[in-house]
Amino acid sequence: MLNIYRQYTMSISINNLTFSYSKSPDDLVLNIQHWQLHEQENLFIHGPSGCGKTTFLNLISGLLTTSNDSIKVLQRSMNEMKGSEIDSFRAKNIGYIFQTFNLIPYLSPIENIKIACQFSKNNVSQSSIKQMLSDLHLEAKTWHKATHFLSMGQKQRVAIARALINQPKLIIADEPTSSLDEKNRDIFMSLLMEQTEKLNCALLLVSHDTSLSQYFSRVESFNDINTAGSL
Amino acid sequence: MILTLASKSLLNRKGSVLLTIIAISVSLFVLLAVDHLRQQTKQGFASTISGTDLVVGSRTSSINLLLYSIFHIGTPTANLSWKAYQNFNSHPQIAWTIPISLGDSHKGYRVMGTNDDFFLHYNFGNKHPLSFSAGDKFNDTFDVVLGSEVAQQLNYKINDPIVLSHGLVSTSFSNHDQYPFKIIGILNSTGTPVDQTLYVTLKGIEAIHKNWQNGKKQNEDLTPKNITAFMLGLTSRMATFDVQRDINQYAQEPLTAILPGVALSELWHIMGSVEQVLKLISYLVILASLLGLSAMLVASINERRQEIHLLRIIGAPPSYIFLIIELEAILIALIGTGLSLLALTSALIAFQSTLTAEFGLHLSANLFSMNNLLILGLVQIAAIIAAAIPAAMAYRSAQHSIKH
Repeated sequence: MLNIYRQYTMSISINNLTFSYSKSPDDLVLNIQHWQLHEQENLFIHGPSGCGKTTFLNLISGLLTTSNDSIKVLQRSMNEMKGSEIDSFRAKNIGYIFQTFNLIPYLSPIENIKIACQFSKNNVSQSSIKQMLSDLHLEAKTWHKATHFLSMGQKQRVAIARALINQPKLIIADEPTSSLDEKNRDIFMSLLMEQTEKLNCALLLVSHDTSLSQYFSRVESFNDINTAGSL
Repeated sequence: MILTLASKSLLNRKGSVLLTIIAISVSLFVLLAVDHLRQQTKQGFASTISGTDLVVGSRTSSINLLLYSIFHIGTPTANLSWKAYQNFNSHPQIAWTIPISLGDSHKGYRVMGTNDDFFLHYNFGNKHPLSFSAGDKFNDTFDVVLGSEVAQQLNYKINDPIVLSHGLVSTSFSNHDQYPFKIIGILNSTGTPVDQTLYVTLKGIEAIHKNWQNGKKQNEDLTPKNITAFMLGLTSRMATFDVQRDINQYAQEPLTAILPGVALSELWHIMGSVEQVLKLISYLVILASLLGLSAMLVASINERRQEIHLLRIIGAPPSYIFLIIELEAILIALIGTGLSLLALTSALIAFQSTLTAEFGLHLSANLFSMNNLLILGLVQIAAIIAAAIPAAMAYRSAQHSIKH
């Protein structure tokens, strides 16, 4: 019964979304008729850079807003919430991973994770942070070092920990492997998949690297979703 | 956590932050030093003379008379005759007088010729009489009593012989070598120019000068012909203006009698505009350093767009970003304030003896006055206001934190 219910629960649902940075309707960056991401679903969206992927993700995370009711994240309409509500909603429910600059460089991994917990008002113990870091194959000697001393591979793994510590229902990853070499990319992807599965959260990964498709059950091209620009 | 973030962020930008902190502490140092100096000088001047009703010298301006007779600053214009002094010494409304005869020195310290009445009637601070830490008053023509500072700096003891010089240079060619004086007493510290002065008898002064000019002569009348000035105390305060008029209208020679308190306030009145200018300058220096703080933070925000974006992504509201910048400004201002207090206190301690010896300024190293606390508090508020511009910029950047 529960499973059937879940089938119909959406992580993200978008209806008739149009978005443009300028006032002119000809400069549409996004035009999405109907699109959704199910709960606990893993989705890979590929597309070349500059096609509006990041704008799309910023709208989902509430950093950008639209004037209409076109985006629902975890059943909440994004333009119904006030600014501060969106901030705390994002802190609690969305884990975000970028290509680079996922961490405050002068803070240690543990401090970076603690900041994320502060905004979600989650009381996460030091030991569970450490547990998470060791689950992500980060050695104890890196835990208290400023993160700019870490390697790119280590940084991205700390980013996973940072994104997952609040047990969000949705993980958004924007080109998370593009700064990694092949070996680190594979480690990163398998750890990310393993952790999201453990948490039962939805994963939305956007990248130009189509080789990542192998990890996902659902794969889409961004140009199929967004019809803006394809005249 | 926000404090960790702000302080580690500052540590991460050590170079520019350190320079800003130094700029703020230097400007505060100037402000506090000027203000401290002003307050302490005023207090020092005011406490130098107390209980003296009038100071009398030859006709001159009241400030000039006050400065050379009491503070030993500048040189007297003319002397007054012994006859005039004797005349007023026996004035029925005058209770006591202290003759002052200046012009000689010893190793850069002023020598003042006077008599035992000085030790009896001269008061400083809140009507404190002078007291001896060793020895006693004059006993003989060539006795000398030292101010505490003189004895300490030159390492003199009772019964040591010393030689006076003509004029006020420590390497004077015209030493009164034939007439060594003997140290008979050393005064306790007063925190006034008394500490930097040597006291000899009027006869002693007369003796060395007569013989300086005429070669050795013995058994001569050593009553002085002139003195520089004299202080006096009245039998009744009510008589002040009567006696002052009597002196100012003395027919035999032109004299000036001044009320030390009145002359001092005239002096402060003149100094007032200088004080205001100094104050204005030090406030402008503070303003400049706070603008520097603001500029440094503005520059940092451009470097930190990614950081701000990241904080927004993990759920920081724009107000949090505003707060971080303000907190950084407050931390810088507080550290700058602490440093300036530390630097000024150590400078005061380090240069205390030099300032006392050179300028007769006794400066307390204690900076924690109500006035200073108020100034420091205002500077913190000013720092918060100065940081409002960069903080608002960061706030806006946080609101429109979009990466393309």
